[in-house]
Amino acid sequence: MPVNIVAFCCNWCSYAGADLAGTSRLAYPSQVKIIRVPCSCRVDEAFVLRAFIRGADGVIVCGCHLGDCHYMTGNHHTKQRMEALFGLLEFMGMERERLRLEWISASEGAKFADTMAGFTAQVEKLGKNERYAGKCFEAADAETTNTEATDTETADVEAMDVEATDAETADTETTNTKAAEDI
Amino acid sequence: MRIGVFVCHCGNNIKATVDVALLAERVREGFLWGASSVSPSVSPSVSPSASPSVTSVVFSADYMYLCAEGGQKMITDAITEHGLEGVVVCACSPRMHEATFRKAAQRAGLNPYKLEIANIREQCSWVHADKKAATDKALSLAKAAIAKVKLAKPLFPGENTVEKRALVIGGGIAGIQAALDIAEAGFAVDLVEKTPSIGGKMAQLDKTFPTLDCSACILTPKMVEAASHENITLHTYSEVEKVEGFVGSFTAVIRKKARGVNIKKCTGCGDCLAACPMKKIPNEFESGMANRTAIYIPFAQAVPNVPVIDRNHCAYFKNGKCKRCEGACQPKAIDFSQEDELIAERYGVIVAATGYEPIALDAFGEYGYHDNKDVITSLEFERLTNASGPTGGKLLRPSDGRVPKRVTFIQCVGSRDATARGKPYCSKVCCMYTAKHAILIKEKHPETDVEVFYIDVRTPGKSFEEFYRRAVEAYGVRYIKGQVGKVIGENGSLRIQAMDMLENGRYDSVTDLVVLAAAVEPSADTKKIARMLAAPADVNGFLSEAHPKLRPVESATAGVFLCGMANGPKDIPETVAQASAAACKAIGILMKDKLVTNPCTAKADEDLCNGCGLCVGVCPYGAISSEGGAFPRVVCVNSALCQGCGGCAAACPSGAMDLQGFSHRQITAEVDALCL
Repeated sequence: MPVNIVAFCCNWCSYAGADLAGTSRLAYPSQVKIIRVPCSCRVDEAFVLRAFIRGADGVIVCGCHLGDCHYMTGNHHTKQRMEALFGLLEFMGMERERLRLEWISASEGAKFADTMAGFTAQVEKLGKNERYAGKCFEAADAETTNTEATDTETADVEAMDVEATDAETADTETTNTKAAEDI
Repeated sequence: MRIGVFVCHCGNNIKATVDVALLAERVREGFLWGASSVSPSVSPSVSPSASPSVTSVVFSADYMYLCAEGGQKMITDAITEHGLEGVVVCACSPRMHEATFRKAAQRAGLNPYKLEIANIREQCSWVHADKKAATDKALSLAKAAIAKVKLAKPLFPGENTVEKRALVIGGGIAGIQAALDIAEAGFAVDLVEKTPSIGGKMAQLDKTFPTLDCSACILTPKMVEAASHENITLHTYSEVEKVEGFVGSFTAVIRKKARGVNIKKCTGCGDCLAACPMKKIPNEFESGMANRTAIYIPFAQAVPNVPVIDRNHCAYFKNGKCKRCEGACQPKAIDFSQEDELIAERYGVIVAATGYEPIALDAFGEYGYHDNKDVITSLEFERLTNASGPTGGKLLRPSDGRVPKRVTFIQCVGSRDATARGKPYCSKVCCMYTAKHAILIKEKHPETDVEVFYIDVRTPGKSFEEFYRRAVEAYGVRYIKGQVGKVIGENGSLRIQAMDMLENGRYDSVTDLVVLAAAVEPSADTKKIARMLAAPADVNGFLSEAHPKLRPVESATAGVFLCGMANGPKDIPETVAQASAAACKAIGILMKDKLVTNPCTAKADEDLCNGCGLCVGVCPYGAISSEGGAFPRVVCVNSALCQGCGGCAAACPSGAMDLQGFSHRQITAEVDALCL
């Protein structure tokens, strides 16, 4: 089974860098899949953790170089947030090498390809992410079942986007709604 | 929800590596991963009549070139025919054609934000060689896009009305030029200047390089034009105190300081100046080389030509007695009771032209600037050689009024000096104005020896190198490569100790006058103005452009434009060009009645927000505040200020803040789809 890698790329630098790698036909492993975010600071720690429990073997967050952020200071926040997250991963007993933070500009297509190849190799060395992948699912699913009643109640309100099969993506919101109700 | 997926071949660009037909087929294989299983629960060929609460791909197709007219028509037709509520286009980068496809969706009556792109060209077919791997990845990316689009909410760009009035901060040549250009385009402009007259630093200069035309002769007509222009309102002796709002709708509070003189009654005769007993106040315009009275007109060509009472020095304001100027004033314009006036006005755009100052030389003790009267700065030299200056344009030493036999210029005083006392950058104008000063001396006093200590002579600019060569070759100005270590006052002369790097030896000689080319820095108030405008400044305090190459006159804050030295060292032609460019950009906004705003902005859920305020600190645009919301303390986002970075959404601990178009649920769904 090849490793699976999720890459969060900011729209202005790293995503453009990935596009440049494409235009320049610079190959990198196909397990790397990119999610476009406006700024690296949009990447919530929860997204990274979610990827790991869903079975991603590596997550890489890419942004503009410090000082070049399209939103001025966004990537500084990313840096702080990810540094804290590295600590959390270690605390969880997960190899910190499964997460990486990189600054890749729109002109660094080669750097993008090299970074992705390097990171994939690094994650391959660690092997599949067995420790957490899927493990939390049972818990999450149990929670989903418990909150299903609440979910159907709110279903009318959000009939357009909350679907029975989609309940677990909504679980954060449901829990929050529940919490709000409790208060 | 009925979703349509369109797969582009892009000729062979995608088709050669990704099995497009297979992709178009496989996206239809249900997309309903079960809640109890990690693997996707594949339900083959979802029927088009699936219940509306279930998301299904009801239409999928591949096409040679989706961006072409036929491809777009295929999308719009399918939206209408199949009643699609969401569209995924598997094609090139969204940076390339997202706008194209969203417009097409809009034409078919679908909200453009219900369309997502799966980038299967730049990020798939072009970087992977293996057809199976590429097709698998393309499917994965398509599924992520489907997952995202099914959670997409229709978004509607907002609209702001544009206040058809511009605020120009700073009345130097940059501000004057910008104000004139905007006014000429037919828009009202308020020009705010801190000092009693517009004109700025350029008014102090004698001649301008490299043409040696007189600075006042080219500046004063512009000053008069600005003052008399029907669309320009001058606020001199005024300061911007507060700025709020956003592009199209700024509100600024301007403090008009009390002049003590009724500007409408005053005729500018100057009788009051003659009557004033306080005559020993250092004249700022003459760089302190002459004195002025407490009621004063900064310089002869001042606009407006109306005196101002300097309350710090006026005998009446200090001791409560005097009022001699009032007695001397025939039109009865003197008004001691005048008070500061606050004006609040709305503006669509703001131009920041706050200018520069030479740095203070306190930390440069080795040049003896504070110890010797004959060590002066370049700006003081401008006044010394200016026909309207304290010596009437005669080159006389400040100490004894003698014509100097030798003048020494020292370059880069504080410029290109990475130590704490200096500035790491090149001040850009010093090499040229020093060559100008040298030529001006040589023209008046050919017998006076002129030497220039330099690190490098930098002359990039039209006719600049020729001008410098003229100083060396035609006028015999001696250029010595090296830095001066010490200037020592000695029997009425000055001893220079320096290093001559080309001769590789010590240089020790005596001179009569030393002129220091002090580095330039942003004017003292630039920081304050930058904070008010939420306009970022660089490490040296100069206002930063939104993009150094492609958006050189815009600040990162929408609706704020930059020009002149406030943005970085530059000479007069560059300043004027930049001012006109800033004006042009400003006019571009003022021409519009309404501005369309990006709907992908942050939005706070007031029911969930606990008012912790973490998001407020994260936002670089000051878009989040607890004012204006339904409840106190609970934050709300000003969508006109928000640029949509999403930092606040990630920072919010209670899940109250979300970014529209990139919501928590959407990104989580993408993550899930990619990890399957």
